[in-house]
Formats: sequence, C-alpha cells, structure tokens
Amino acid sequence: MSRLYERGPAEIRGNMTPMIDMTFLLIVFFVLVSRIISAERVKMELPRPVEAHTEAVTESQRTVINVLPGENGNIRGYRLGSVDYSADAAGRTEMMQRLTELYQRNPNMRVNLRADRASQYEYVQPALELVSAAARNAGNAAGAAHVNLVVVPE
Amino acid sequence: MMADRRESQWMHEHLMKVREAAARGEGYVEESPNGKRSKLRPGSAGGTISLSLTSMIDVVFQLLIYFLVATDFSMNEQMYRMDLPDRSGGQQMADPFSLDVEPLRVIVGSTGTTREAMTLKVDGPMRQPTSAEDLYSLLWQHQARPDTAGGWYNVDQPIVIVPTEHTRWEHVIEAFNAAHRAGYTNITFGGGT
Repeated sequence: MSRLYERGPAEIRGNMTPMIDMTFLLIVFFVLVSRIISAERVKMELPRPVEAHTEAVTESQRTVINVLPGENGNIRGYRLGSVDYSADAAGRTEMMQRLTELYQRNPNMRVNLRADRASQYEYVQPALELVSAAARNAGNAAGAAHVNLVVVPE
Repeated sequence: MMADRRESQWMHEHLMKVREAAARGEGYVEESPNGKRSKLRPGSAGGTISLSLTSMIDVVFQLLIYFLVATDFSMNEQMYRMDLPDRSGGQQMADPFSLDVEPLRVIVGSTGTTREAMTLKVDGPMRQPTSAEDLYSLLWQHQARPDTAGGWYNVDQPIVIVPTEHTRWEHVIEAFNAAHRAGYTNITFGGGT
C-alpha cells in the first residue's frame, strides 16, 4: 500500500501574509505615532484655566512650538516641529530662520504654542516675539501672526 | 526494495496520465488503490476560490488601535486663538482724523505657585480685580452691550495682557481666559522688550 494515501491530503504550511501585514502596520504605526507624541507633544503640565472658553485644536497646517520646561520656571530651550533650539541668541536666530521659511511657504500658518504652566513669561515671550518677527520677515501683508495657545481645560 | 520500485512505477504511470490530461486541457481524477478519490487537478480546471479573512481582520484591528491611541492624545488639549500684533512700528499710514483707541492694559503678576496666587492690575477708572474670576466679571460689567448702562468697552476693544517677567504662564493664561470669556476679541500680550 502506498504511503502517500495513508497519510492523506492534509498538509501543514504557515501562512506568512498576516504576519507581514501585522509587521508593516506596526512599523507604520510607530513611525506615525512616535513623530507626533515624542517630538511635538513634549510632556509638560499645560495651564488649566477654570471656566475655559477654548476651542478644539485644529490639525491642519499647524506648526508646534514647545517651550521645553526646566527647573523652577526656567526653560531648557524651544522645540519647533521636531528640532530643538537653545534659548540663547544663536538658538533664537536659527529658530527665526526656520520660522521665516515656514511662513514663506504658508503665509496663513498658525503656530501652536505649548508651554508649561510653571514657565515664566520672560521665557515664553521670546517665542511669541520670534513668531511675530518671522511673519514680518516673510513679508506677510497683514503683518500679523496667528498663534494658538494650547491649554488643558478643567 | 521491490515495493519501492513498484511504487515509483505506479507514480510514473499516473504522472504521465496527468500530463496528457493537462495537454488536453482537462482535469484528471484517479481512483486510488485503496478506493479513495484522489484529485490531481492541473491548471484551471475546477477548484474553489477562498478568501483569507485573517489579514483583513488584522488590518482592521490595527487601524482601530491606531485611531484609539491617536485620538486619545489630542482629546483633552484645547487652544485659544490669538493674533500677534505687528510691532514694527510707525510704517502704516494711519487715518489722521481717527481717534486712538487706548488699549486696556491688564498687568499680571505671580505671588506663588498655586493657581490663585496672582495679582491683577487694570488701567482705567474702575476698581482693581482680586482674582481672574473677578477680572472676568469686571470686564463683563463694563462691556458696552444693550443691557449694560455703564458699559464703555466694545467687544473689539484692544486688551493687552502685560505679565511681569517672572509671571507663571498659568497665570498669564488665566488672565487671558478671563478677557476671552467676557467676549473680547482683540486680546494680545504686551510688555517685555
């Protein structure tokens, strides 16, 4: 008797398709999510105003500036998109150049500003000044820059 | 030894039959020695089409997880819209006959690390607010609306929040929120350099 028939037609074979699907999806997932979370959503304590009259954050055409919180209301620097800039004059000049480029590309750009609730205004203000100056440098007709102040309402 | 040779002889015969059948474009069904029907179907003759749902389910679950995670991060964050003024100064041609609207300045300071530990000082002929809530009611009270007799600020009245250097960002936002909540549309930050 032939062994071929005794064994029957059953055959075990691993299907690779779902594994490949999973792998690619995981890759895509981590690429997308890590960019958003780690670079643009710096962990910090955002201000929590009471009775806040805020609106939802719009995701279109946004640029995010994070004021990186340090100790005792000081800061470690600024982060524009995913690039860090120091808080000194050199860092500010570089950041201004980058912002100007962004404004030239999109004059209606809105900048989301994220700052820790404990950060002192003297460190937050330069970021606002830079946005304003960059909009002016890029030749914005209106001369006005639009900023979104990001908070977490109570 | 003999059995092996018989078996290979049998295999050879049947493979030849399969090839002939394939050349004719037909399937080939063989009655096996133990009575079972063995299907040896070359090419396109017959067969069922079965879709594997596994990968689709994988994709759907992954997308579900992605959207769950992604929306969770942006759910609680909200924002205020603010237009930064152009401080290049003196270049725009102002109407010489228009009256200047003097902006209302709100000076904000911090006295501690709690939310309430802030000082507020308002320009203009009104009492000084003691808290952000008080600033809101003050600004609301003095807004020019049909129902307010003593209102003198329009909603587009420029309001400038002037924090001192060491004011915590939290307190700056509280003051901003108070003005925004009262319905004013032209709020900016001032002071500093």
